[in-house]
Amino acid sequence: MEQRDSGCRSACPSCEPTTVSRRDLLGGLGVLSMAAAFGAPVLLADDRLVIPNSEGFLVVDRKKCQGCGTCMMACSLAHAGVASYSLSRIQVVQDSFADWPDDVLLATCRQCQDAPCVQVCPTGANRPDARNGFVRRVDPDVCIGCKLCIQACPFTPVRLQWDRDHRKSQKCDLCVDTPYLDEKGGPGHVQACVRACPVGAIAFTRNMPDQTRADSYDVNLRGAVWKQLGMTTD
Amino acid sequence: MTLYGYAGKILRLDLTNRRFSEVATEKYQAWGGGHGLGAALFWDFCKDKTITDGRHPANVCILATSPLNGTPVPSGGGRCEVLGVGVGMYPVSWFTRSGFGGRFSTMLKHAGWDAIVIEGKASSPVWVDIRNDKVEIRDAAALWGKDTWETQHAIREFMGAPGGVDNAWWDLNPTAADALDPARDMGRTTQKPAVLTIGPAGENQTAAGCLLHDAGNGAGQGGFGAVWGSKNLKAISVVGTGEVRVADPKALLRARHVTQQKYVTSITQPDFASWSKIGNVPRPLFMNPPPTTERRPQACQGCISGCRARFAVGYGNESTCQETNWYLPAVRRVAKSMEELAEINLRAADVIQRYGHNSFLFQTGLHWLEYLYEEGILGPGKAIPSNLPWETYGTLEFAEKLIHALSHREDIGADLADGWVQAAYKWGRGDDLRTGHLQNSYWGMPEHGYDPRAELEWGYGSILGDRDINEHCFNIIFTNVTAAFAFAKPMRLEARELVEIISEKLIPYATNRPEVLDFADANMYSEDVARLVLWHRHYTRFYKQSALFCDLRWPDFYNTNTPDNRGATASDDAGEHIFWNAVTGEGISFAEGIERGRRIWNLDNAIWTLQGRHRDMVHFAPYVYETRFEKGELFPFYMWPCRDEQGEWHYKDLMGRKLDKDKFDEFKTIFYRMEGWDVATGWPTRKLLASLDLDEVADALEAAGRLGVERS
Amino acid sequence: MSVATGSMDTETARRILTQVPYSSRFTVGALVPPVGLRQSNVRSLGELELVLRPEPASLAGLNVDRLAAWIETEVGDPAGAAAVREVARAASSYAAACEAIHRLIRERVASARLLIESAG
Repeated sequence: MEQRDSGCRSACPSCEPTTVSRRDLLGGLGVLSMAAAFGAPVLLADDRLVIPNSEGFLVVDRKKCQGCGTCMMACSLAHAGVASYSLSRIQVVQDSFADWPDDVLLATCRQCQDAPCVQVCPTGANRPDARNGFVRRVDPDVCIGCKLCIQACPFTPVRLQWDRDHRKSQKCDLCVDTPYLDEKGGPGHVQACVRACPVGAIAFTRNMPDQTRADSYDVNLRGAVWKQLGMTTD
Repeated sequence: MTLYGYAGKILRLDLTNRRFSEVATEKYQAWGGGHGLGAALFWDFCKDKTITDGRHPANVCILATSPLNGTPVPSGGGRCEVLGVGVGMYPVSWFTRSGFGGRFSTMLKHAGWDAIVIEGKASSPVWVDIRNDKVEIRDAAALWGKDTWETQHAIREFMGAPGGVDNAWWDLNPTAADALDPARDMGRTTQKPAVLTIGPAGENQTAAGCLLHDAGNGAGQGGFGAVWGSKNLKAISVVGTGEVRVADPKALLRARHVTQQKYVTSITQPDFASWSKIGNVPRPLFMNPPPTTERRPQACQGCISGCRARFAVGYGNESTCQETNWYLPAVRRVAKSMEELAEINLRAADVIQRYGHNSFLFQTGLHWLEYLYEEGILGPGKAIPSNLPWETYGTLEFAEKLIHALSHREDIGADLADGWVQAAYKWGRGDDLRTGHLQNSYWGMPEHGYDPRAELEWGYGSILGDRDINEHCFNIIFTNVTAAFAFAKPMRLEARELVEIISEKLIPYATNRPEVLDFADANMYSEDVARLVLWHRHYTRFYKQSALFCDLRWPDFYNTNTPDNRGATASDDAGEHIFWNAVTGEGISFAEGIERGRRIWNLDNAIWTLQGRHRDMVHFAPYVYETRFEKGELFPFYMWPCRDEQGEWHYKDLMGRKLDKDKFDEFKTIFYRMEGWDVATGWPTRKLLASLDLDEVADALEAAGRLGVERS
Repeated sequence: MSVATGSMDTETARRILTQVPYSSRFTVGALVPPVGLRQSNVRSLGELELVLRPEPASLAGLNVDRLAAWIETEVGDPAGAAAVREVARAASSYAAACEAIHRLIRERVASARLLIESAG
């Protein structure tokens, strides 16, 4: 696991659960709806931001993935015009010698409700984008390359990438900044990885997965056809 | 000048002096990539092109990628080509090729290299550690003797690469200061190093030695494992954090999307019986029943429809096709259930992967060995001595003992190490090549399963080249039609429509000339069929072996997923040239790709000519001429489109015939004339080579006294 | 008495379960794309049953007349041979014939095993 800021009090499942969840507390204060209503982060007295929820998420089925890396290539091409795994905002990690299903991990940005990477950004480069469904997006024109967001992500592997050529962080924006896609990207529009996947192992959803569980973004996308092909749908 | 698709440089390894240097790719751009690039590199860097055994120190082995590697060209981004003089062919080991899939070519491109040229011989075992542009030739004493999987694990551990999949980003920088310096930052990756390695079969320089990557991606034919073994090269590991620059990313993504939507059957509502190559659902090709439903399809990078699998059962990962076929007939002798059959068979596949042993040689070889043993010719104290426990034939233990012996030159492995046909003659079993007990049809290599007496383009292409072609371009016709016939299902495409659709795409030599597909007896040795073989050689040399479109998915001639049954090949929206142009920006036509293939094929023939090739050598094993492809023995029929005497097209059974040696000789003359080769020798002429901008090649042939003569 | 189990005594059952000498083997194939036509041979009905099991990606290759003759003369099961001819004749296609022969052989082998077990 990455080293995390010990002062982080984000209610993500990698932390020890607090006695009273921040969500309950903030919900009780009506802060969440206020944030959503104004379409803007709300700064609390303790300098923590309450940010509106993303209106879109990627969910994956690690049991289904064929490990072809097409999603990674499509992602980097759509965003940057080059095919690069290191610049891909979705990561497929695999081990040829491991047993299914532990031979593949699909690591996508969770668009966390209380995103640590947004919290720590000193310039506001990483923020929910009000014009694009509050997707947590790094503005490359504002990012100063401090890497605090990379350090703050509590997941393994970290869901942000370091662009070593431009010296900036980047992350999944659900394809908002995709100058190389014909169609519009973003929540409710096209995601390059979802579209490119030959087996349908990645899906877009508007429903926020359970933020208290690490495995809530790994879902079952296998149906009758998969069964007909002789593979388990469990 | 920006080279799109290419990394821009080639790694040249001098193993003798343990040094490396860079060569600019730009000089070789016209050759495309893969085979073309590799053949041109071989021409430039191999100082003795007369050698006929790949274990000779003058041999140069090339690993060559394509501009398409590392991009999402559907089933065009994941292969890697291997070239050099081979080992174990008969009577000459030609300059030859092999290929493998997986992650290696992608990773090599990301590391910033288009190809690796391997020259010389290290004084002791070495392995090569490539991390972006940092290259180290390291001592491999600790790796030598390890099997292919152990080697990869050991290299991962040495490099500090993360294991498993729940791993953090791997920072390639040696120090934190390097990471902070834009000029030195090597970047980070979540990917494991891609390692290509030999196992014991290659270390012991046996003809069956192959190159193995990950669990089951193998370059089998050609004995390149033995080539590496002879150079004391154990493995090459590569990790890269870079990128592939694409000329028109939008066009590439668009064409990929078109392929998915138009040419590939829907993954949610598939047509399981579609007639297509690129258009089918992912269906792993292991030959035994699946050992479990707990598995995934597994694919090379960029593939649109994976052909492998990974399982929950702890064995069989990434073994598919041939590796799961080599021992299956034997396993049936002992298996008491399908579950037991699947397990023994897949574990036997694991064995052959670990030893880095080419399983294809057993396609015909295993039956032959069984025959020799059962007939009392081979065994303890027999004419062919062998102390292997043949009474346990079919068990996993026997499989391991057999592969161990053959990989270590022990027991019968001592004679088989130089080639199976060579061993047959040494053992006094040359007659088995007449009777068909050993069906190694061409250049000492096994018949593939598509008998040259029936499927003409396969046999002709193999014997006119350097190896069993393993190119299923037209072979899909046999599979689709024969299966439909067997199940009494309606043909998705009747014979006439099928050949007309295909011939629309045989640009430029046979466009709308469906007669080239007529394999009827009356047409077997015709100019029509020669024209098909010509097209096939040129198409595969460029599009499949240089651009590296995968043989399993391309060409896609006909495709019942589309409204007009036309496939993706040569199409304006998702044809091979469309993808090539989107990546490279070169703007070629489909026909220009064929022309590039012709150039590459002719360079190959020039190298074979220097190796001693003459048309008199170009003949099948005797059984092909002396015995018939017996009707019904292996299958009731072999269906293929043929014309009748009225010129009407039907699907006909091609079983029951043999080839006529004299008529095949005449066919060779027709083919040579069409290629522009000297019909007396099969050698290229100066006029031909000059037309291909290969004047220096003509000079070399002339100096060697092997330049073809133009004859009227 | 079914076609599969008809006319079986313990001697026949024993012959059904015995592996014939290599010289009496029966050559079978399989259409297994993309490997191609795969050559194989069997020396017992038990092995034949495994060859004939339907699989999604392959189709067994055999000559029905020769198979029946082999079962009759090499295996020594004339009733089984007759049954093979009968089911093959009734089948709607070659593949259907293979499936029918498989079912027949499977039942015949199972019955033979039961008979031998019960004979002690």
